Amino acid sequence: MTAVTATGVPATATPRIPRRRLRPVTLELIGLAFGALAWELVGLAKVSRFLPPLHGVIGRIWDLLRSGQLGDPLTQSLRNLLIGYAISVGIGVTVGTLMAVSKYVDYALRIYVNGLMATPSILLVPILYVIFGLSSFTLIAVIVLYATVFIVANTRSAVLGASRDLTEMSQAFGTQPVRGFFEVTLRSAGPEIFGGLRLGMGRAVKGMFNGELLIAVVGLAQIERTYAGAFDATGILAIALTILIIAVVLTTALEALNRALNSWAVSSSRSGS
Amino acid sequence: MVERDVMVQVDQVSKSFVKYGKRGKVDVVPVLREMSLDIHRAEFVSIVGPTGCGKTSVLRAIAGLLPIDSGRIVVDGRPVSGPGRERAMVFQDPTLLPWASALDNAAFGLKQRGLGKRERRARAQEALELVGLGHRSGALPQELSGGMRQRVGIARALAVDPSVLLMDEPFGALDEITRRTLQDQLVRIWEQDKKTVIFITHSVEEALYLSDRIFVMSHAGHIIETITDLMPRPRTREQESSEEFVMLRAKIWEALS
Repeated sequence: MTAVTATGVPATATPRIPRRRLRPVTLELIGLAFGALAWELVGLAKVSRFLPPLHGVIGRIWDLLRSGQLGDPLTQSLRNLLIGYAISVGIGVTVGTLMAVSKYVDYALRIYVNGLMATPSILLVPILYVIFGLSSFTLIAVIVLYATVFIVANTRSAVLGASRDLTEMSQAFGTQPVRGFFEVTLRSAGPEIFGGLRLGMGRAVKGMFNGELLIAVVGLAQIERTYAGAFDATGILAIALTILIIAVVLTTALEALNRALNSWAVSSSRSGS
Repeated sequence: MVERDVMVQVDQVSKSFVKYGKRGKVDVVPVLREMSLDIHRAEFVSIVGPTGCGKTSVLRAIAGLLPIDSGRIVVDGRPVSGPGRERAMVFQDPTLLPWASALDNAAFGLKQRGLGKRERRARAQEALELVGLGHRSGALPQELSGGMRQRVGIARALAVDPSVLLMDEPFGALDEITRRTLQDQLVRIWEQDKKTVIFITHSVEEALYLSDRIFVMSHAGHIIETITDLMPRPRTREQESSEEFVMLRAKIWEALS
């Protein structure tokens, strides 16, 4: 017989332990597996000759890697991407911060930022080609053009939205304004700045490929152009999948860095507190 | 000339806020009008008044966070021109750094004053022990309850060992039980250290329980009544139903209305 306490709660009652929830990474992998399975089934069903099964596309990537055809173009594209992205981050975070702290800089630049965000970047690529000529510098400039404005806009909004209460608190304890800006304001804006960096990374990958395709026909775009000329759907999708993998790996790395630097924001937003 | 035992002197202080409206319209909203008050060393005073009467503005002016238009504020014999080491503030919202542990938050002011890591951690831990949070020093703010966060905010202010503690409705957002617990804790700490405390509240009962003197502010932005001769210390909760307490409360309400 179960003993009952004065409050009516059974004395031997054990707390109900909720089942362990699936980790986000597990759910992501399940989502990927479903997508891959759907692709494979549609490909095997031969719905269209331009949609080969997934295993064929992965096989082509493997062949390209083994034969060395993918190595050099991939290295070239990634080098441009990383240089262009680093420049974008430097310019984007600096300009966005200046816009947030100075209303004069904000008034002067806001119209350009809004205009560039609304204008399809691809329209400006030929202009960069005319200015810089046929060089990897042009390709890097295209990446910078694609990514920077989004990093600027997010950084501006992040710094403007940083807690004014925290800034006032730090002033009350005698923090010097510059030190307070870096140690408190910028730190509290960190998670939102990272949101802009992630968005900028996606844009940079887009800029990398569009630049290669429209200007120099080098790197991954060169292989893509070859396959497109031969109506080789498996080859085209192999390059598309490679670019997708690059984008996912780089944004995941950024996400991991964000978790490491801003774990307080990640955990509080997940817990809802 | 500032009297010897006067710790904080607010002398004929005025402050207005300017609001820019549409079509170039400029509105000047006065919040403090030639306000004067003296607070003695080791005294615990409260300022009560209706919302928007300028209670927080006068506290921020004393803290050096709000420049005044005219008059002067003197703390411990020195005119206030900005934040200073002899003052520390406890905010209505605890305003803790969300990425820092309770210990690092409590040590924030000490870090700004250039103390070494070991010393500031030891002093911050001591301040956390004082507010009963020594066992949660490693917790992040999001892992603490509202009352615990506010206690970290108090510990941060106490850690720098200020001469004047400025408290802006620190218990305003807390539930009644937590509020009373923290009031008792504050009285205990004050009785140990005898710091000068300026406490902003809109709770008449809280002011009566904590203070040596109560300044009542009006919407006009100045002190309309100073309540002295409050109940003798030590005080108990039972006194809240005493005739003396009820009469003092009525007196304050009368001034407020």
